Amino acid sequence: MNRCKMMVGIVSLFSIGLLAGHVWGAEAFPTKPFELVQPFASGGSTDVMCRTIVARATPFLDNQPCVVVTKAGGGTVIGSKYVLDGYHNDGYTLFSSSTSSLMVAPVVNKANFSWRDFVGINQTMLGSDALFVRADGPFTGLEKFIEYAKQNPGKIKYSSTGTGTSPHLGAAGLAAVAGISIKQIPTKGDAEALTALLGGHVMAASMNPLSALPHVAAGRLRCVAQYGGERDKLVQPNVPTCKEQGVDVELDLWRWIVVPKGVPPERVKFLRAAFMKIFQDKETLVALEKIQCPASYRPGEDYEQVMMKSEKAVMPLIKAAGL
Amino acid sequence: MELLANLYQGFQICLSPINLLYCFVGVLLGTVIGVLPGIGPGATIALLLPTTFRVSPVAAIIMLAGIYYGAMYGGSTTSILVNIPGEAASVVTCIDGYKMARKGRAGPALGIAAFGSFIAGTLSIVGLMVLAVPLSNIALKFGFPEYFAIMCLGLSIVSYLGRGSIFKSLLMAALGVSLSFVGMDVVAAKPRFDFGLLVLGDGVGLIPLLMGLFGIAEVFTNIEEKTQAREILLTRIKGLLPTVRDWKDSWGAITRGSLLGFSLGILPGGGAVVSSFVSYAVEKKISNHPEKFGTGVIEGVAGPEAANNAATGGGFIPLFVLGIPSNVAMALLLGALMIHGLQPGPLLLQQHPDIFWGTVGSMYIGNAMLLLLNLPLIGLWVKLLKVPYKILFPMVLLFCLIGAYSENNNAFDMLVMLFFGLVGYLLRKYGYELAPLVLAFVLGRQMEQAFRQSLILSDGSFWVFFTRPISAVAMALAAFLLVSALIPAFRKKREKIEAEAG
Amino acid sequence: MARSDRIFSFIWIALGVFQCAESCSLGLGSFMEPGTGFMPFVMGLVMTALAIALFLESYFEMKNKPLLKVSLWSDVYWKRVVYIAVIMLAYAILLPKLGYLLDTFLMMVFLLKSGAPIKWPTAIVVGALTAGFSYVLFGIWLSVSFPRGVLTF
Repeated sequence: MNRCKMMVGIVSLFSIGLLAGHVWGAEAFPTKPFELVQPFASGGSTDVMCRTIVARATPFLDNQPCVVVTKAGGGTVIGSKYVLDGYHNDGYTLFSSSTSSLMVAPVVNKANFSWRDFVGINQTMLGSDALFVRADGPFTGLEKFIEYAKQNPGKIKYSSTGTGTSPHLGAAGLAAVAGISIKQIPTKGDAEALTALLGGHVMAASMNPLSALPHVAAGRLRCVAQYGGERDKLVQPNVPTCKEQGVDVELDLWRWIVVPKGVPPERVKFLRAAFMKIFQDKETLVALEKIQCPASYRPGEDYEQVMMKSEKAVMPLIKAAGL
Repeated sequence: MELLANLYQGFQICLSPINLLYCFVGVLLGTVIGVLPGIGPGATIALLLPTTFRVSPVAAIIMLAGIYYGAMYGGSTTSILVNIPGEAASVVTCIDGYKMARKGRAGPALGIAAFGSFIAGTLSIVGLMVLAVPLSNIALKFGFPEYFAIMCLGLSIVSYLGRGSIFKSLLMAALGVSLSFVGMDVVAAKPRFDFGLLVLGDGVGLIPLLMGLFGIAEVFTNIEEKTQAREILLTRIKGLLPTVRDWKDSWGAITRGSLLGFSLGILPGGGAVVSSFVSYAVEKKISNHPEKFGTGVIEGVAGPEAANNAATGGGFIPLFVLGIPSNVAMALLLGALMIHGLQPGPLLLQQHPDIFWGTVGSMYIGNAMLLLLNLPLIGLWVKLLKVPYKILFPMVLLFCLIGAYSENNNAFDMLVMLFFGLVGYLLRKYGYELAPLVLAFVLGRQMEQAFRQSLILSDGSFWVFFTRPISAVAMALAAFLLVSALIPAFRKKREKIEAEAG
Repeated sequence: MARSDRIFSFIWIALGVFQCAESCSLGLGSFMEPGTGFMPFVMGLVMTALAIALFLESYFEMKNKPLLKVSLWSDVYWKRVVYIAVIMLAYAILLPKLGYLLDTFLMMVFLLKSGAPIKWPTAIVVGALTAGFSYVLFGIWLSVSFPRGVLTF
């Protein structure tokens, strides 16, 4: 009798132990804070958008905070390479990617990765970069700009952040399609590009509208065209697109939160669910509108579809621009 | 009169209990961070940004700004006490400040640094108030060639920093510039000089370099000494505050430093580091005892400390008036403003004057708080010096290690720091000045970028640097400084050759 | 000092030449569009030129002054420097494995023992206190994320 009881006791203990081991052995996620890497200069539109998103994200991420990490340089390549270096695929490192970092930069800067090396979590915004000129200058519209450039090839210099970024491609593509010759002066960040234009050192600046808008409102700058397929209704509803003005350029600026390939599928699932809720959170959406960010959510499952469509639109533009 | 009315309104805003509290927290944190080597205001501001979301925008900016200029106060403390700069802008303070401490005059050095910072900070806030808009327009006139020229001028200052051979100082500068090239070329996205190591892809970090060359190397230099001379010198502490004589010597330096710092701080990308170096060189040049610089003259502390604090005030101008940040900390402040729905720029002053004037008011108060905080601490810091070095130095090393690690949470940075620690130790032994290396390193990449941008702008013509008025003046000045420093060196050689022949 | 300057100038010349060579392989570009290697190449030239100037300067120095045979290495505890450097190297390498608290404690104890004479109990107490206090200050108050190490506690 005693030995029986003992046997039963031992077996039950054993089973409980195994069960417990199984439940607790499966590593919990998340157990430490997240980092959201963004590859543009601090204080720029991407940086501000990321900070706004993570500000209210903690409750949706099982009370783990998400910290924004800036890794700027190399036309977003430094940031991408950091995320892809093999040490950051445990699901705790997120990357705020955009047309620049996933589509344009890898090709133009000859980096050996592509959007296929990432897994999409969700789309955060859909907008458009644009071309700005001085309000006191002769370029009242895209037409005048192109006309001047045709008569003075190579004379127009424009500033834009980085080499191989979406604003760079926008302007270069515009030039290629319109058949004009303009030269890019790469700068480190939108702020530097803006300063150059405000100071009259360059004749145009190709950049994300966020930093330039206060100066447009103050009457110092003018926006002659935006590169997207459709007008960005939130940020610049009154500026015509290139297409509307007769130049066939369609370069949407989208931003996606992605993780590198190799993150375990359950973690990807967790992140997708969490961010879906984040983008349904009223406070977050209001905050994004406040910072003039045209939020536009799409679930991670749409990643491949969106990427392929974008690739089809962007690659020919890169070729045409000769980059 | 409108100015005073606005300022009055500003004071009303910032004197509310909540805003005062945030001001105090900000400057206190800033001082602590400034004292800790390696951890800078940028990282802290980034860390605290989320906590400001729920607070009013004015309070948020007051606190974050407080951290920024508070860090400038704290940075001089370790420079003077242990020859380890809290950040790059305090490197120059090490040169004479530490020597003063070794002579038992740490108290007056710390005191003049605190007072000088206060005066400079206040003056720069006045400048911010009165001249913000006109100065920002002048700042816009600086284009790519002008930046390059200013940086060349900054580098030519190097020829006045050292006490030994000018070629050695210039070599250190060349080395500094070359070191800054390690990493990815920003323009072409190509890796440079990284010897295949992925970790060097980002380049050599400023913090590990600074900590290594000054912190670790300093400990090495001290630890190898057989006679603990350091102990003997420091037991003779003469007085805690600057004397009347000290004030007489310093007031000119403080005034000049304030002007210099403020002017250079306005330029986006310029700033505290360059202005502290320039101030030191200026003081040395116009002093009637230049050979004493480097042995512990108080002007060598007062000037640069005033300059780097004035630069912080100047740095706010492009941010508030144009919405353009002049460095990382400003960029984060910009982010903070935007997250609160306020777009810095020309319209901010018109639509939300309370933000600007509230911050300006808080800066006066913050500066006063910092002075009151730092002065009593002088006695405490001086007591710290009495801790036996054999117990102190491991802690110093540990703090440096943490400082190097904390930027990227990467242990590799510690190795970089150690490497430069050994390099710095050897260089010091053989008589090389390390300050030029730091300045050149800070300027190197920016200089290269400005150079390339200018050449694209001018379609390849080098004349662009000499045909534009501002850059022409700066380049001429740089050339003049360099040549006038080199001539004595050549003359000495000629004399030697002649003496030999005759 | 002059003799060491001469030796050092050879090192600088070598460094400068190496830099020029590497820069060439990076592509110099043209004046209209300076390449990646342009500025480094210029700097390499400058370094070499300065090194030659330094050599000449010290050469003339030596000719005029009697050779002072002061060795920089004879009267100093340079072995301590090596010892400390090795300890710090070990610290950096072992940090991910041992975790912050243990690694710091060990390093502090070894560092304290490497300097002027200290009793073991003092070293251990100071080491433990420093490790603990710094962990609170940096790891908790300032939120620096330290590695936990294999032995997490």
